[in-house]
Amino acid sequence: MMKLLVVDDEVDVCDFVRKFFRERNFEVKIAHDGRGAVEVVRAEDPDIVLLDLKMPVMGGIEALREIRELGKTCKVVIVTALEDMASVDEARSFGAVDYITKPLLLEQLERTVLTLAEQVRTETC
Amino acid sequence: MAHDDNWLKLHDWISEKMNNCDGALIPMSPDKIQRRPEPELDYQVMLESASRTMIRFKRPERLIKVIVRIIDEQVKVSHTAMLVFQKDKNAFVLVDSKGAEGIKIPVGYIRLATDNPLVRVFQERHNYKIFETGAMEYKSLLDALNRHEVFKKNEDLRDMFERALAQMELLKSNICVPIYYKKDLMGVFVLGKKLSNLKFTRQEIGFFTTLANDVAMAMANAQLIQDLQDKIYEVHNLYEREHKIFIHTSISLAAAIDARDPYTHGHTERVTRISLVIADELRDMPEALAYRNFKETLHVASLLHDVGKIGVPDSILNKKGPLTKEEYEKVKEHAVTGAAILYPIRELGDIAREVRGHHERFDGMGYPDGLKGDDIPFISKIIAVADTFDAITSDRPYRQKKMAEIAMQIIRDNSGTQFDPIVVSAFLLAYRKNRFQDIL
Repeated sequence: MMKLLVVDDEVDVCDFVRKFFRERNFEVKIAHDGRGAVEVVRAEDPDIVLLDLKMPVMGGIEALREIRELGKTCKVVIVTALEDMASVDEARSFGAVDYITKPLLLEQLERTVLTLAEQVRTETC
Repeated sequence: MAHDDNWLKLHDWISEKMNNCDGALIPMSPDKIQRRPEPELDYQVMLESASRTMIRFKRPERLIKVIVRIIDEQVKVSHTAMLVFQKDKNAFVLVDSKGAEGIKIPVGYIRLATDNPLVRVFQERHNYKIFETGAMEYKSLLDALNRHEVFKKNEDLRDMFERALAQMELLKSNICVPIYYKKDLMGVFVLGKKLSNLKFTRQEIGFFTTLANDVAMAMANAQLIQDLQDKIYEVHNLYEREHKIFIHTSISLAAAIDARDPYTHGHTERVTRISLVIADELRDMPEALAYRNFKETLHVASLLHDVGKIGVPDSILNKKGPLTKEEYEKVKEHAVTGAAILYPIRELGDIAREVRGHHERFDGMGYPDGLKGDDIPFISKIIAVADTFDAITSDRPYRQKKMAEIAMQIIRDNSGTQFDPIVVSAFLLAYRKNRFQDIL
């Protein structure tokens, strides 16, 4: 089963996205800040990470850098506010593969993650 | 009758919720709310009552919250959400969501683009081709897609409806109800399934569509009020800023006048402060209330009362020793000159007459116009007292306290001749309260 990590400081967001992707046959892990995200990546080795940029304790960019330092190659999708395109560029330089802007389009969320899942599948074959 | 009972309960519940909204509402008079409705009363009557109260909401967010709560708690659906069009994002954003069993979609997390098929179906009003109520029900739409004539003829329409259906699946919605204001789609109620798993009744769908109408009106209303308040705030700020600039300009101008006259250094500032103290005692007088803004007019007029001295030559202003008759006449011109300078300035037009009159005497023996009693502008009379008080107390080789006492006596003695008795009594009142102590 494809493993997805959802990182967002809002509990409601995590619950919603977890439900959404469980119904699409994903195993979903949750983290509420950058520090937690790094821990989950280390322990669980997810295939795809949905990473919110603005979080307390450790922000998304910082977490992304640490994830890369761990040598993990999981596909990271940045979730950020429409206004904050500068951070997207920064995240891309740390190997984020895609981004979604908030408030997000459900079909975009679905399409982005499903496409990446497909990629992971073909790469591992 | 069980069904009617439910509607009655809902009616009471809505009335109660609407009236308990921390002053967001103007309470309705009791006679307008039918407390004990007749048995034949249907939900339309209930909605009328709800809409009458709803229209009084001043803040759209609060209104949306209440509506979502009403539906969630009363209609018993797995989840209730509301999409509202937001101009700045050019999208329909999910603004509130509640769900006992279904999904609770986080507020502000999801948007529907304006080209989203679900939005388009409502925006272009294609839903009316299929559903007479305008609300779109998942199961009925699925049926219609297979059977309805219009889809057999129109491939594109079929495609759009199919994609709209997919959107409803994404949102886990069993029924979507459009919210229109005039011709524009303002939002969409997104409702899950009934907890009873039964189909929505016609009556319930009717309730949602009517509620949607009311919400649209109330939201448009609330938006208007919001816009108006923003506008008022903006104008107010603009006024405040301009006003500050204006007062500061007056102060600089006053300082420039002061600087030319070494004998009366600081005179303008002191006269202004003395005038304001006297005015404090007079602010409730009918003469003061006759001004649109008494205190401010007085403030600016006293700041600028000697602006006409700009026209008096330095040789006269700086002269040591007594002035000749001609020189004195020249000095007297400053009242007229001052008014002439201020008159053409729109903001200062009213102040010109106050400045012109500050050397008039109550008995008509003053200059430049020899005005008498109530013909002299009220503010001019106040400045006259303040002007005299400062002229006597300042720049004298005597001790301040003694001079203040002498000046007070002179002003008191000239009440009714040189000065207006009302202004003099206000001055004496302030004097006894020691209110000039800090100024001199």
